Order: sequence, then C-alpha cells, then structure tokens
Amino acid sequence: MPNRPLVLKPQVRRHIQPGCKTQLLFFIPVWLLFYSGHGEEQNKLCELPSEVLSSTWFGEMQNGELCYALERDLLESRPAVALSPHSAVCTLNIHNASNLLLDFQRMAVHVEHLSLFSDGHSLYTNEVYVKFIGVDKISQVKYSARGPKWSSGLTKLKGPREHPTKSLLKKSFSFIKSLTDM
Amino acid sequence: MDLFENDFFSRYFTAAVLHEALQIVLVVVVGFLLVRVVNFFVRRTLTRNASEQAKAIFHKIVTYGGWALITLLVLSELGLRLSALLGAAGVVGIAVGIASQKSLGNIISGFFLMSDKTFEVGDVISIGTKTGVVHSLDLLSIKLRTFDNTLIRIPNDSLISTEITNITRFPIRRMDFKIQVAYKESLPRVKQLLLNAAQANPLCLDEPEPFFLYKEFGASGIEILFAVWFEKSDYVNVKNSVFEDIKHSFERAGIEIPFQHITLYAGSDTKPFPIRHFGSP
Repeated sequence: MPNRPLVLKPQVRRHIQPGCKTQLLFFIPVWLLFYSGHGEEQNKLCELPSEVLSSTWFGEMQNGELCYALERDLLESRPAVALSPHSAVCTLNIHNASNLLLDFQRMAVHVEHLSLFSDGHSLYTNEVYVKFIGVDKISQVKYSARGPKWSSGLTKLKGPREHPTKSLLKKSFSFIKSLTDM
Repeated sequence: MDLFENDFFSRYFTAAVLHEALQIVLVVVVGFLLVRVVNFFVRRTLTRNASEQAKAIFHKIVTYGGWALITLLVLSELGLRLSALLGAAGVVGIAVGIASQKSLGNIISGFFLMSDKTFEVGDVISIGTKTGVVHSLDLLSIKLRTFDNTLIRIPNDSLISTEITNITRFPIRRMDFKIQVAYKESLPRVKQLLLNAAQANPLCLDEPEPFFLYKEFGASGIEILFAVWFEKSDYVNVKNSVFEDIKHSFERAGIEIPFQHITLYAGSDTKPFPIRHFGSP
C-alpha cells in the first residue's frame, strides 16, 4: 500500500441520502517492495509505486496532512472485467448517520492501515467502514480484519504499514469550500 | 609511627566529626536523588507538552537550584553561618548584576522568546539577511546553522526587537515564479501550459491549487505570477523541477520569454554601428 494516506476524489460526484448506507469500490495502485536474500535474512532494498501519484494536502493549512491524490471512478458493484495486476480493490462502506445530504467530493483514506489480500487473480484490501455524522465533525472510521465479504479464498499477502486502533477517529470528509475559503 | 598515627586519628576522627561527615554525605546523596526525582516529575508532568528548549531550561533550573540548595545545606553542616554567607552573596550578586546588565537582558529576552514560541530548534528562520536552521536556543543567545554550514550566534536581546521570519513554521508553503511572456502570445494558452506543468509535477500539490495572476503590462512583456504549493522539505526539488518544467513546456509550445537586449549605439543618429570584416593578415 502507498506510504501516505490517499485523498480519494470521485470522477463523478456521489450523493448519499441521510440515514442511508452505500458500498463503493475503487482501485488503489500498489507499491512494489524489493528484497534481497531469503527467509529471515531478507533485507528490504527499496519500494517503488506502480503508479506515480501527485501529492495533495488534506485539512487545514496549519495541521493537515500530506497525502496522495487519487482521482478514480467509484464502482457500486464488483467489476466484471479483469482487474489490473498493479491495483488493489478497496471496498468502502459509507453510512450517512447525519440528517444532511452527504455530498461526497473527496475523502482521506488511511491506506497505511490496509492489508493486501489475493484470490489468485486479483488484489484486494480489507474493507473500510466510515460513519459520517456531519459536516466538519469527526467521522468514525473502522478497518475490517479481512478482505471483502464478496470474495472467497483470499490469502493475506502483506499486513498494514501501521496497525489501526480498534475505533479510529479521523476527520475523513472534506469540502471544497473549507479549502478554498483559506 | 603507630603511636603518631593513632594520635592523629584520635585527634581528627572523633565520633562527632564522623557523625558530621556522615550527615554531609547523607545530605549530598539524598539531595542528589531528590534533584533527579524532581527533574523526572517536571519532565513527565509540567513540561510534557513543552518544547525541547523549554524542557532543557526547566531541567537546568531544577538541577542548578537543587545543587545550590545542597551546597548551602552542606556549608550549614560545616558550621558556616548562612546569614553572613547569604549577605555576602547578596552584595556580590548586586555587583555582578550591575556588571552584567547586558547578559541579564539577554537571559530575560531568552525567556520572552521561549514563551513567544516564534521558533524552535530545527526551524529554518530568517533574521535580517541571515537565514539558517536554529541550532540551539541558549540562555544568552540563539545559534543558527546556515546552509553553507557556518554557525551564527545572535544575542537574545537583539532578537526581541528584530523581525524574524519562520520559514518552516507551517507544513506546506507556496513558491512564487515571476514569469514574462511576449505580447504576441496567447495568454489563455500560457496559463494552461503552466497549470499543466504544475499538474504533471508530482511534487506540486494538487490542493491548494496553483495560483495564477496576470501582474502587469511590463516593459518587455506581460508579467505573470505563477505559484505552486509544496511540502516544506521539498523546497530545492520543487524550485529546480518547476523551473525546468516551465522552460521546457514554453520551448515545446514556442512561447517566447522576452529578455533584455542591449544595442550598442555609436552616436551617429540611428544608423547601426558599422561593422566590416577584414580577412586575417
């Protein structure tokens, strides 16, 4: 997984009604790790991205975080076509628990908490659950321990760069206004 | 010899002297442990969220204060009258204070600077014409390590009344490029070329978006301010790569960057300076 969080920007804007839940899928370009040696004597040489992503800033000028920008089309169901060997499918479960229409413009996905799984053909990450409770409020983010439910026979290829806490609170949604007003 | 030694020991190492020596050792050991314990609690509680410099200064205050107290207690155990000693110390203190007004000013200014939190160790700051990384903040001065690896000492006293720019205070920065293009060029095309160059450069941040401004109709061309946002540690890479990107994209698109020309005028109305080529002798 990339070494920084991703700011996911859907190519087509999504709106989630108050109280509704939705599942969205998107592709994350994987990073390649190069090792020398075998077994316990393995030494990591370097890591390279399969796709060079541009950098972006998420949050306030004073205390935001440096991320990669990922502009992707969000899928609502499992892709029928063959998946890229350099991308992993990430399943995003969003619950709009607020009484406002959620205008999904961008979202920070902490990919450092994601693991990588394979079913022999494609790559997958564990599922991400986001509970949106309002604009400028902290969304509740959880990471499942396993790959997507709709895929079977998965084997874990790589654990997360950083292990998430049980219930991680992150400010996940950002709205263009809050950035442009600065 | 034995008799002499026995006499010597019995005269100087009486039970009272040994008792006093034991008390002094006890004061020093207990005092030393107390200073360490107090330092530990100060570090863990009072200065948990303080800067490294504040922690270091609190540590020094506790350590020096503690050892001063231990010294006074030891002197008291040795039979010295503390009132006379403190009186003498007061007189000496006044004399030293008058003689070192400047130093005291620096110390007080140092505390103001520390509470001000304008910068910390490791920040890159500019003071006047000097720019460098803050190497240390001491009681009397701060030390800057410049980028050509020299050390500059600046007294705290002079810093209080000087304008200081903290370059690395915030995590992201904006880099401005002042560009000129010839009057004949299409401005929307120039704008698009610059924005594309920034978008293609992975070091330039997508957000905040690059800034573009037509500044003025200049003497040689149209002046443009183009600015990109970047992560503060990428300064040199961003400067060099965006510079190259702009030049390459202008060259590829045939955009002219005007520059000043010098025409040598020989003083004969407006005729050009006559040049005649002679063959080699």
